[in-house]
Amino acid sequence: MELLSQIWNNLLIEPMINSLVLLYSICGSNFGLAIVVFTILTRGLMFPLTVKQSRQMKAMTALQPKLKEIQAKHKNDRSKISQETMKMYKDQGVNPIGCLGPMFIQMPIFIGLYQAIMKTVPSAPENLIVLSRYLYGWLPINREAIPIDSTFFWLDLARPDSYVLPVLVGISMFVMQKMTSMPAMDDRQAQTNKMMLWMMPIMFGVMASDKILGGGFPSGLAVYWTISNIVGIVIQGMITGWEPLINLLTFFKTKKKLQPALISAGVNEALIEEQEKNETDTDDRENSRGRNRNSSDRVRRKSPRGGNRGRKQR
Amino acid sequence: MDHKIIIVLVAILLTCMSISCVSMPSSGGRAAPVLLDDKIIIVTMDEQVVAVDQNTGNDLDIQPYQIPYLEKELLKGVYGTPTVNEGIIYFATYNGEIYATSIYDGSIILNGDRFINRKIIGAPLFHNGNLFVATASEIGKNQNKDGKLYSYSIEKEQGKNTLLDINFNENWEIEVDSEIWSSPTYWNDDIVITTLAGTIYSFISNSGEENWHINVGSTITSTPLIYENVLYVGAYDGVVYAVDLLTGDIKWKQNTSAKNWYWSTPTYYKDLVLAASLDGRIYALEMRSGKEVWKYPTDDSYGEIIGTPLIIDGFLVWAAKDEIYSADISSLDAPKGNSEVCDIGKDVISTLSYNDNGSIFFTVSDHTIRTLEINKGDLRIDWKPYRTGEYKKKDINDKGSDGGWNPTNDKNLSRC
Repeated sequence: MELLSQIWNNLLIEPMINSLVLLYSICGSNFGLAIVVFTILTRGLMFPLTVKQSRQMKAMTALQPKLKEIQAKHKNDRSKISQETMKMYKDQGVNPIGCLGPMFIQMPIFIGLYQAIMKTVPSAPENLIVLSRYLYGWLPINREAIPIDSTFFWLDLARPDSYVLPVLVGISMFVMQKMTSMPAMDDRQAQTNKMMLWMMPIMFGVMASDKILGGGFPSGLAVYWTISNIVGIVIQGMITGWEPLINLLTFFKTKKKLQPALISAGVNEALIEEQEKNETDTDDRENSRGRNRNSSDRVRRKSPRGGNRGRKQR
Repeated sequence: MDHKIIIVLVAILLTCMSISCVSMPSSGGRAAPVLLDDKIIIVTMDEQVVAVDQNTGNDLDIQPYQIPYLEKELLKGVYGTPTVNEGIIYFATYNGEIYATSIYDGSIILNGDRFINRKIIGAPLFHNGNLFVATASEIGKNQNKDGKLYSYSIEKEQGKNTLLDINFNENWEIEVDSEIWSSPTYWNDDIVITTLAGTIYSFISNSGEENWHINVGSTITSTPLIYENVLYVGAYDGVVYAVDLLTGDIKWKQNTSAKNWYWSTPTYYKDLVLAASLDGRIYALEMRSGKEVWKYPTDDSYGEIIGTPLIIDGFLVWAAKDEIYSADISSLDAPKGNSEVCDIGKDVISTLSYNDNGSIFFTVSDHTIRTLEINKGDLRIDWKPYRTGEYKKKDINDKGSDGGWNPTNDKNLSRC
């Protein structure tokens, strides 16, 4: 166990701490900026893996029609479906869990960065002595940079924020999930996808806040996660396109304009809710194939038929 | 794709568990023992003030005082060695409270009433009837990160329920350019402090008026040594500075070969200034010129030196992590050969205190107070470790927490 701990420290924690402190010196004694630069550099190193992941997802999306065929063909035989599916993936050179690679690499980085931030910005004098053990002797600039000023705008990067940063973590993660979500094959999968789409951003957002029991993780880590998500969104957009993001923005914009208009046109509110549910479950990539799912157009087509019935008087 | 979801959920769960398993760093305190007559008075890591017999290591008939921290208080501990004046011990806690207790019966005279709302790391200084307290940053969110120096007048009187009572009033307070982690010290009627920004200040003790200040450009956390009108202090850049106390001018500065920070107060022996670094070495510099004469030990195998080394009968004695060393420097040359070493088993966390009978006292990370006898550089265990706080109830022969240590009163079985 001690050996594992030593490997963890030597291979991950020490390089992280020294990188952060060096960047702090380079970035004009700004720890927040140092974390931002660190994040961009880390994502840069992971870029080949991220590109591979995105391409895997794109390939899997393209295989969706064939998957549906297999499911329809072997409706009552789950093992046959599994077998045919894996055969198809193999023939096409697609790895179904390949898209998880970056996430699993992000986990130790996340944990390591948490430890590195707590050690780099010590809260008590004895912790400063512990920090001195991690600094490389051959890098005197690091020794002279201590102690670190952990202030960044309104944040103390060694302590959790209350609201703003947790919300940014949640939103950035939601958008990232939306950009990388796979189309659902059936209702059950659609439900699961929807659950994951909301659950993870909320969970991470809550964990980033100081309002939870135990205090939440430091805002320096939340800055890392937010920037990492933003970089991930940009990379994803460049590789697979911006339609999911555009559709998301369009959806919210349309919903905002649409609801009062619908109500005043006498469209049944239950119909509006069903409309919204369909919009949420829609595969954004299917939009890019040209199927016209523009919600406002569809409503406009409906409106004349419903216009003479039950128009509500203002 | 459900198995993917399960994998992701497990990964999130493991992340949460890992993060929760990483303990938040907490304060603990590292105050050195205070030696008074035949007593050792110490503010322990268990937030207690205890009194122990210097000769036997037994309890004295003085009840330990438990510092009344709030249950959720994160800033605990006393870092600065308490200061004693006319039967009263003064100490300050990390969460900004000042206490005073009687050395005779342990009764509380000042019960943390003077809450400064700033972290206090250095020891308070009693000088010319006034108490001086130097502070680090403010406590709380969006805290002010500059330090302050406070001066309080102390007037003693007979209390209603206690032997002594004191009137404790603020004379002045001054804000400086950064946090103060060191203890204030004095030269004639001036108070001298060092800051994390690398500034050394001198103030007139009565008024708080500044005499001079000088910035060396590197963090200073150690209390300086003052000897014959010159101040000596080491900084984080591995440089030792000598400053004229009258003018504030730098007399010399020596960029030593130290690979880590200077943390403790330097000491001196004849014409040498001895500065201990966290790289585990002691650097000997000529007092007049600052020229590096020697460094010891020469290899990298020793642990960091946190406390000030002692000079006892021509022998240099110091603690490095979990070992105590002594080496002959009576010739003023670098110690020759290997030093005498005593393996304590756990980290020594305080500066060494020393009495005239040739005994050294210190505190250890396993919540014990320990002692060694030193005789011509030869180190031997004196009495068995004195356990403090909750650890007092444990079996003294329990090997588990002591890494195999099995203390007895039989000196022949000592590990040194």
